[in-house]
Amino acid sequence: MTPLLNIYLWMSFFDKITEAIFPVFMVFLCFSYLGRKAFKDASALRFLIITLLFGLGYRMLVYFIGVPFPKRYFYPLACTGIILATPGFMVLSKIIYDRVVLRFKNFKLSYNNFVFYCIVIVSLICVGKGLNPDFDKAWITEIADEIKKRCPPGSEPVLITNSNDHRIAYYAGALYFYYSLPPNPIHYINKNGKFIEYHKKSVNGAITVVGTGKIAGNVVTADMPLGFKNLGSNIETLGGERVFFIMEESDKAFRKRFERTKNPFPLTLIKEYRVRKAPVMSLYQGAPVPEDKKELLYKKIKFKTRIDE
Amino acid sequence: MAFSIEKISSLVNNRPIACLFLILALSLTLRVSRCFLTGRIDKDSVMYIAIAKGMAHDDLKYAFEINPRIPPLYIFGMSAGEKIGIGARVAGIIISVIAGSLLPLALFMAALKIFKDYKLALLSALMATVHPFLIRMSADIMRDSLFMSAFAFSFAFAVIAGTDKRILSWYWALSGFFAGLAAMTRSEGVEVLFAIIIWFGVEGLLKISKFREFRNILLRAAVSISIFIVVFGITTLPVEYALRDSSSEWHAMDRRVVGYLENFFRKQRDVLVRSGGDQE
Repeated sequence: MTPLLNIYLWMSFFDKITEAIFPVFMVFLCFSYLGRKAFKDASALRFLIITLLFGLGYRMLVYFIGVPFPKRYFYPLACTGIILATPGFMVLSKIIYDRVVLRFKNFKLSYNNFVFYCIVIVSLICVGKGLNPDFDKAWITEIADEIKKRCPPGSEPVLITNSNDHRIAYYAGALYFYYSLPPNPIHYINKNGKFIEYHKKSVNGAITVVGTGKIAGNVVTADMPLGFKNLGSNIETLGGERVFFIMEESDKAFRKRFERTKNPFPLTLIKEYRVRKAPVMSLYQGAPVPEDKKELLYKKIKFKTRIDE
Repeated sequence: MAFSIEKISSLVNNRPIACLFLILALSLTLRVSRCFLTGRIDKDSVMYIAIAKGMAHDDLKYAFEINPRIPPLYIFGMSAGEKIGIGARVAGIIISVIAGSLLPLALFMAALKIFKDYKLALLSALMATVHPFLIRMSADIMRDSLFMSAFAFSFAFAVIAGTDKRILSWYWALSGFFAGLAAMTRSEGVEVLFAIIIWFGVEGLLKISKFREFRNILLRAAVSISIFIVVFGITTLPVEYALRDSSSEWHAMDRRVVGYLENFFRKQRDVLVRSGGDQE
């Protein structure tokens, strides 16, 4: 079935438009036709509608071919939508005033005062939503604080994770590496400093970096042995206890991957984060490096990312 | 209370520009307040900060390797902030807040031309001031706020120029300039140009039976679109040229749009061919 005939896609599309223009203003927009006399310049109104429809059309095109299109890409529609919705507010205020307020003669509220109160109410609703603090994803800073607390003093923390969200690493001041698990693609494998194009199925556990230069944006394995069996030694090379590992799955599920491949589990669980509207996150720390390899704790890490170096 | 409402009413009637400044002050206050309530930066903000820092401290040539397609204007601003010592993150917030606070001004300008009424234009500006997502967006280290303002100003100047019946209106140049800034912030910045072309087409069609007016529209369209495109080019092409040797793959006219169109129509055609085959 063509995506254009998919009712759920259409519903999601209109949901995003409504959110972008904001439901309260969408209600005003519905009443704008009744207040069309407020648009004094027909030619300017046509331009306003064309800009809105063109914006809608472009977003529809991109949305229905399946390109990831977050909600905020719809926000420009708010610019034209707000102007178009303004007469709707006046019409709705007039309707409510005539049909509701005037019936209660005890009110003695003039139309101007009523409109003023309506503006205040709408503004308060909107501002309340706009200034509502974010309580979600508190675990981002929570995990980052935990990493900072546990990282040995004087060494730069290293974060290896299968999450593509860099924020934990940013807040922890850590070096970020992506841990690739099947079916995530790996484009190049670094074999002793030489990049080899990789067309087979994904490696079962690889520390990766993003390619630069000619291979910019490609997933490239770091110059380290691949697979679960080498994770312990890789963590030691990267600095042992300064290495933190975050998996977007439960501790049990992650350990099972090692059990299936009959490899020892090289990490120590710190905490499992189970938060609403987010995947389960398991935070681990690497085993301490032996006394004779303490210099690894402070070593500067840099992997080759450029094919033309 | 009634007294104060009357006072506000008389202020709106007699001093609309003073009211506009009050709305802009409210806009700035709300956006600055939001900055203190935003706990965490956005997922993409980390990338913007990394590019801006790379540009300021390392080499412009390699800075865009993290995301070669990213338009450069917002990153330039953040990088400038990093260079002068306030940091890329703070610079990003400042740019977003200022741009977001000015958005109601653009909508006021456009609405005033459309409604020819100060009250409705002020109401439009107030709605943009209190719009929850516009408030939230203006406190993020994201390009959206800057893009929206540049887009809104481009639209507002296009409305002003479009309602000006003269053949040559320099407001088209301002519209082209802001469209250029919008395109340097996000690829959809060029949308206004297409809206203008379609609008002139519609205006022409409506006047097709009156030869003189139709000819005037054609002439206006040719002059206006030319001015817009020239200024748009003057704004964007030097930046594209300056980035030619860097890892940036940004272009003022996003070539992906052609790909989107091809994909969209190919998908529809494939489905039709498949359903035709099924029926057979």
